[in-house]
Amino acid sequence: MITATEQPVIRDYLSYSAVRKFQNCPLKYRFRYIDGLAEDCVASSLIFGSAIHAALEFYFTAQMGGESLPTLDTLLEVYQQSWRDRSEDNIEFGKSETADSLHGMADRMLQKFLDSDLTQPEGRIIGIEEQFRGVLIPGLPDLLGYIDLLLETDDAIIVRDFKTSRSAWSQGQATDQSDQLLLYADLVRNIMPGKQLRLQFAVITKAKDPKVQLLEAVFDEGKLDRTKRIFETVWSAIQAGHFYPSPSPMQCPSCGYRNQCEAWRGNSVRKETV
Amino acid sequence: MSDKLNIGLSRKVGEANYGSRGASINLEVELDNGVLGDPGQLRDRVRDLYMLARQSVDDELQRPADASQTSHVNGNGHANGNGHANGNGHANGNGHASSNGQQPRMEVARATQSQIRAIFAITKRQGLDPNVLVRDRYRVHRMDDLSIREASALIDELKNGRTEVRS
Repeated sequence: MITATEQPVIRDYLSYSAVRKFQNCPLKYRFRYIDGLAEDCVASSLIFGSAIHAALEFYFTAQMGGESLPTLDTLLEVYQQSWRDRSEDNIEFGKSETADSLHGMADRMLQKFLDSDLTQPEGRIIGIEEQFRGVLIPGLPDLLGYIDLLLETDDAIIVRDFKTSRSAWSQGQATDQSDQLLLYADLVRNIMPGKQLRLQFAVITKAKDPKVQLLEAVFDEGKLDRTKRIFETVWSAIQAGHFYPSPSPMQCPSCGYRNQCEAWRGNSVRKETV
Repeated sequence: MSDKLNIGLSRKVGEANYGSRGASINLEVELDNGVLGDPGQLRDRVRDLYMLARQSVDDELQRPADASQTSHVNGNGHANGNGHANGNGHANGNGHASSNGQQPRMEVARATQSQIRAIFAITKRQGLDPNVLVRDRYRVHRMDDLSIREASALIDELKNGRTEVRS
């Protein structure tokens, strides 16, 4: 029997990550967003990525506010505080990975960041971890998203996302992964009509010698429309209660719902609102 | 001390992509002696002022958004102009009104929360009152009413130490 450990999360919006979660495993979506079950463990990569993001957010906030720019030690302190904030979580580390080895990696990655052109973004910063919410498709809940860095130049609005990755990205990967940025750009396109929309991925690799990349993806209206149709279809499936396990050798080993998944014995079709 | 008459008018029109644009105007005029005691004359003055205001707002809304220098459009496409005109006590409906010196504005989006946080952080460091600053500089009552461009310009000024605040 599955028991909710906390109140179900009732949300009046959709997020990109929630929709992706449904696409990866509809049952995981149900456990997380409808039943409100806490995950038994959290992958270290998620906490690591959040901690690096927190350090980058701190850096650009200081820059935007005209403060003296943070040193590596300061950024590492922000990173470690982010880890401490998750100290009660059951963190699942990868093979030959420890908190210390990840901290060492953070040290190298943040140093590479400080040495790179990413510290001097093109144009003017107008948003850092900026929340945007709006109608994506009439009839669907609003889309809510956070833009890592929003920049304005004389002729463009730039939506920049920071990624930590095991390996360097190709241009093709940037194009393939651009659907999230397309949706976010669609949300902000009306704030300055007439300006070009540019999508950027700032990638820092998790390696002994980290690499820093800045890749641009094209704002493709056709792909944006296709992504919206995917959202529409996923929302229909959610409303129809189509929640089923989607076993994957890539996803299951680090999933925090393995016990609940094994205990699951099917569910009647139900209509839910999230 | 002379009597003053103040009227305001605002109008909003729909635009593509669920947006809208609007303009508003406030007119303040000094009344000639005796006008208050003559209801008919007072009504005529009020009617003339509204005619002037309506014409000005309509003219503003008919201008292309990128050509306008007096509309203030917020983040979701909504716009608020805020003209303040001083008449000469003889509002005769000829459409002439003089500006009170406020800089004309053309903005298209409200300040982001990041910008607002930055303004608060810098002004706190510099010992300035951010609310007084934006009220004096941009004649808005809330930081949220600043546009993105105004907020950017203010942040630049504050960072460069060029900002002065009336005490």
